[in-house]
Formats: sequence, structure tokens, C-alpha cells
Amino acid sequence: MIFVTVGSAYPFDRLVRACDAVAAAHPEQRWLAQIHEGTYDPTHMRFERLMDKQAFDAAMAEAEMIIGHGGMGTISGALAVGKPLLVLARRKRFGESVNDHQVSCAERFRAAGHLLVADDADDVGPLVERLRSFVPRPRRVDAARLGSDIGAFLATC
Amino acid sequence: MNRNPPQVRPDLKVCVGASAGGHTTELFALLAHSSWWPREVVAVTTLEILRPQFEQLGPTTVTGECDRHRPWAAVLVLIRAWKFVRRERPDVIVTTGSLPLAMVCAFVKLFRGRVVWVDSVAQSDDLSMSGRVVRTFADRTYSQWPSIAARHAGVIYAGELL
Repeated sequence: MIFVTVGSAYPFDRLVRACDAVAAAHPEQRWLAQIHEGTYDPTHMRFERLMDKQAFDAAMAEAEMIIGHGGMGTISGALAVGKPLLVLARRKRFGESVNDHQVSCAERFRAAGHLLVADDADDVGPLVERLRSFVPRPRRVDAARLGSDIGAFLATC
Repeated sequence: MNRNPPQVRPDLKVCVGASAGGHTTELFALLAHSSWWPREVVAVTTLEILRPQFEQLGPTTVTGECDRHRPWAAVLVLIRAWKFVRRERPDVIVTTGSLPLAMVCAFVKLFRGRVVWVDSVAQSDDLSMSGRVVRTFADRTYSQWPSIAARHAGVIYAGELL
């Protein structure tokens, strides 16, 4: 199953349309899309508007590949289950975000080998084929450091 | 784990909060490494669908979502943020953003509470707009990118959450 997600905060029709077009060309593939309150309803993918954490985690766990917006919930979710992720970042010029932070963040994660990036909606189709064999590099973080730094500050309050 | 957990006074009332999406994932990653934090916690988030997740932390208030391109939504969030802070009066807020939480931070500060702002790892070029504003009155501002912390006086880098 390929899981498509636009995140929980805002719709992202450009991504949903791009994936629906790929899904139309790949009827043998199972798809599930989480599309928020977009105006475009896919016709070649099963879809949900919003998913709670449990349903989202279950879809992430079941998917063999993930295609998503460039949000950190999506990126960290894919890295947590070690699944290949293709990102189409939200862009300011299309009114999809207040700035292009998803573009630069996705590029940093791509450069580190954590995911693939589609620069444009037209790139999604060709990159899905590459995604099939893409093995994401695991990301190592130490959240305990920030946790203890803030803990030390709270001790002074 | 921290071997010598700092002593946080037991009656410290802490508010934790995050917007939907990565902000929420970051907050829970932080709290997973914060077992010595005080037990009196109130939570604030932006979407009803997140309520069950936040209620595991404590009584939860939902403000609604907004960004700076949605001024009417922002006014509603502002009112809810104000009511929340006036009712709960937390001693300190710890948040991973975004704009709705920046509003909560401003009101916490107005009531003489402390503010800890962790800018999202998603902000990899510079501090978020909210982060730049909150930084002016926050007691602790963190960036998860060393290059950003180096550019802004007073902004701390102490590793990443995601």
C-alpha cells in the first residue's frame, strides 16, 4: 500500500492531484490518502480527510511507501518506521504555506539521505519508481539533551 | 537518561503545548525524555482530533488552528488563548510552536509566567516568525539547528527532538 498524507493542519490539493494521477496509471497498486479538507477528491485512491494518531500510525506501519507534504510529522513518522518517503514540499507561491520552510527542510533531509524530494508535481510519478528501491538512512537524535536542559531551567522556576 | 535529575518544585504548574503536525510530534519526543518534570500539567493544542493524545498529559484546551494569512481565525485563537491562560495561570509554558502557541506564550508572560520556546526543527533556515517574536520575551529560546542558534544572541542549541 502507498500511503499519501498532506498532514493534519491544512489541505494540499496539488499533492493529492499528483498522486491520483499516478494511482490512475497504477491500478494494481493499493493506495490510501489522507487529504484534509481539500477541494479535489481523488477518484483512484481510497481517502480519509483526517486521521487520529492511532489510524495515522497504523497507515504508516502498513505502507510500503509514503508520499507526503514536507511536514515534520510526516517526515519523522516515516523515519520512525524506516519507510521510504517521497516529499512534495508546500510552496508559498501556490498559497500552500506562509513561507518556503518545507522546501529547505526537505532539501536538508534529502541531502542527508533520509528521503526523496519531488521538486514539482510532475516529478512525483517518475520518483515513485525510484522510491520503491530507496532505503532511507536512519536519523539519530538525542532528545534527552534538550529534555534535561529544559528540566534544569524548570528547577530554577 | 539524566542521572541527576534537577529538583523541580512539586507545585510548579507547567503548561505544555503544540500545534498539530510536527510540532506535536516534537513535544511528545521532548516529554518522553522529561520524566522528572512536575506532575501538575495542563496542555494546549490546536485541533480537536489531537485532544485524546494531549489528555494523556493533563486537562487539555483546544484553541483552533491559524497562521498569519488567516486573520479571522487568528482572532478566534487569540480569544481562546487568552481565556485559557486567564483560567489556568501556569507558572511556566514549554512549547514547540507554532503561532497559536506563540499567542499563549504572550499571555503567560503577561501573567508573569516563564516561557520556554523550542523552535521547530522544520525551521532549518532561520527562526520561525513566531520564534522571532517570542524570543524577545521568552526565558529560554531553543533552535534545533546550531547555525540558527549561532546567528541569534540568546538562542540556545541543545540537540534535536526529531
